[in-house]
Amino acid sequence: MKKPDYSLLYNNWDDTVRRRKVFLSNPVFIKGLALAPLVVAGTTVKNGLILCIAIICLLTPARFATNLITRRMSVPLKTFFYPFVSAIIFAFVYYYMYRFLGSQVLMLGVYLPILIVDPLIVKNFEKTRKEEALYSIINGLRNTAGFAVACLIISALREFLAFGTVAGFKILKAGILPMAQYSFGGFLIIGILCAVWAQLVKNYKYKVEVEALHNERFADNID
Amino acid sequence: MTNIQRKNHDRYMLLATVPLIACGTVLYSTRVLLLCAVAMLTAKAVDVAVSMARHEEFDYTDHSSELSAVIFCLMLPVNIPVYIVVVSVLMAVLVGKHFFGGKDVYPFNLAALAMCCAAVNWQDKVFVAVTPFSKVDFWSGYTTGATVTTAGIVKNGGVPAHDTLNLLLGNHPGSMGSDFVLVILVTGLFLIITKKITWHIPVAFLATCTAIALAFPRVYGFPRLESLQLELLNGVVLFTALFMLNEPTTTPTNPKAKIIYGIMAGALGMAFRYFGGFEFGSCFAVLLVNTMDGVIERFASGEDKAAENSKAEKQPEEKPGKKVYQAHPKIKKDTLDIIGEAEDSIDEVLYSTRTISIDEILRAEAELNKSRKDGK
Repeated sequence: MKKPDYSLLYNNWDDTVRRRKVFLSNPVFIKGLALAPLVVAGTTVKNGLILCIAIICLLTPARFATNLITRRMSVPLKTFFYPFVSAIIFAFVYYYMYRFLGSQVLMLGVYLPILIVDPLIVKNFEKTRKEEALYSIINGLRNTAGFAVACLIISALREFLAFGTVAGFKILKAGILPMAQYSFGGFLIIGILCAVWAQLVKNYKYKVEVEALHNERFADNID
Repeated sequence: MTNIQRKNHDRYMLLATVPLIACGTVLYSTRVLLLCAVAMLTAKAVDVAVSMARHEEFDYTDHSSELSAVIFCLMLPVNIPVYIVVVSVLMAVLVGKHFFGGKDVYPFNLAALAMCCAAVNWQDKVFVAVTPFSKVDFWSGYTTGATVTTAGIVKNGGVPAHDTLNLLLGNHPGSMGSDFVLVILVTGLFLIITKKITWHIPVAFLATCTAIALAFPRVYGFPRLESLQLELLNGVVLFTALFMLNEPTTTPTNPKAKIIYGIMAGALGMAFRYFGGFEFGSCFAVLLVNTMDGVIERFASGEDKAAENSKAEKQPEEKPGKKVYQAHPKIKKDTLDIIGEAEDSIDEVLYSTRTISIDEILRAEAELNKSRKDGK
């Protein structure tokens, strides 16, 4: 496996953080976005997958479409348009999701439509600076990937703790912590996961720093 | 409360639980000892693990976790599976104590938190009573003597067939150690006489419970006093008053605040018992009152009023006719991009974990000084 260039990473750390949305700036674990649907609806892997599909179909297209439509608009109008566009896209997404997945979609209740106004999707309109169209797609995809990873980890862990199963496959006789299926249990588990994730990021950053300094000293000695 | 006082308090409270553990062992089984030991070991193990993870020196004098673990254990039935005790204590000590800062600063009563955790997760296993002197398997906890708790019978509108003496002695189906009324009273008196706890909270709590039970009896068609007897002599009311409500970290220090705290705990506890879904409503009430601890303390000691008065004194008088109006800057369309860039950079700083080295700060400072000297 190719060793990453730690000096380069260290020197462009802010840029690296902005790009690596799956690990270094995960929208759920680090930025704390999209917590409401995950806490309430992300109880099983099946529910998690439905949430992932909704976000995949919603986040990047909404961001890109709004970017194109609101290019010449003033900020207040743009603010109004963002959820409006995501609501229109969601109407199509919901229709097709219901057609293919059936009544399972209804199990998520209001927490699927609520994604339209979730900070994960609407946070972008707070920014007054115009965004490049291509950049909006790339950034949307990065955010989607970050959310999908977090959503699957959380829902799998909650299902395992609450029912002793993962994606329906029985692993334990019964759940170790049945309260994981409730909202307060979800809050607790997400909180613990966030803390663990932040510690992993901190450890990685420390490793990058140490390696970069080591490389610099090594280069100085050679000179 | 100083460190030494706290340490002594915990030790005395642990000592006070010994007669209850002994009674439980005699009436039920030696499994009581096993469960208490497991709970204490789990609590200690979590404390050690957290101090190791934080790279801190372990405080051997802190016994709050073990005390809470034992108090929680005494409220459970003897046939409870061991893993429930382990998970509940782990959740309470890890989440309730260490996530909130650890020793002396945690806001919630750990025993109440553990009990609520167990009640929410394993309701069918926690709200079970075991008939005294029935056979209980030491390891699995299997017993044929499992039945409905006395509190459960009252909650469902029934009348338990226990006489007063049996209720006082705890000789009825119940939990491991919270039903021995006479023993609890004696240990409570011992704690009050040795000044490890004060009378304010227990008296206020029990008086409120008595008043509510007399005014609104739950057992219909029964004399009020007998209904009161059933309310007070079962369902951990007395145990809560003496063992759970007197934890120094989560209770106020002011005597007036203690009385208000006790009254609120009593009223909420009875409300939970009357309208709640669980039989042991007191634990939920304790947690709820814990959240108001600081407010009650400030209200009783009049700190808020004093602060307001001093603020009013310090505020300077406005000079008439010398108002300065700040001109609102006119926002141009082009500036929006600049604001956007600034927002981006703030985002970067917020979500970035990059540290700034001292060299960078010194360099920036030198540049700033240089530009000031040049008069830019």
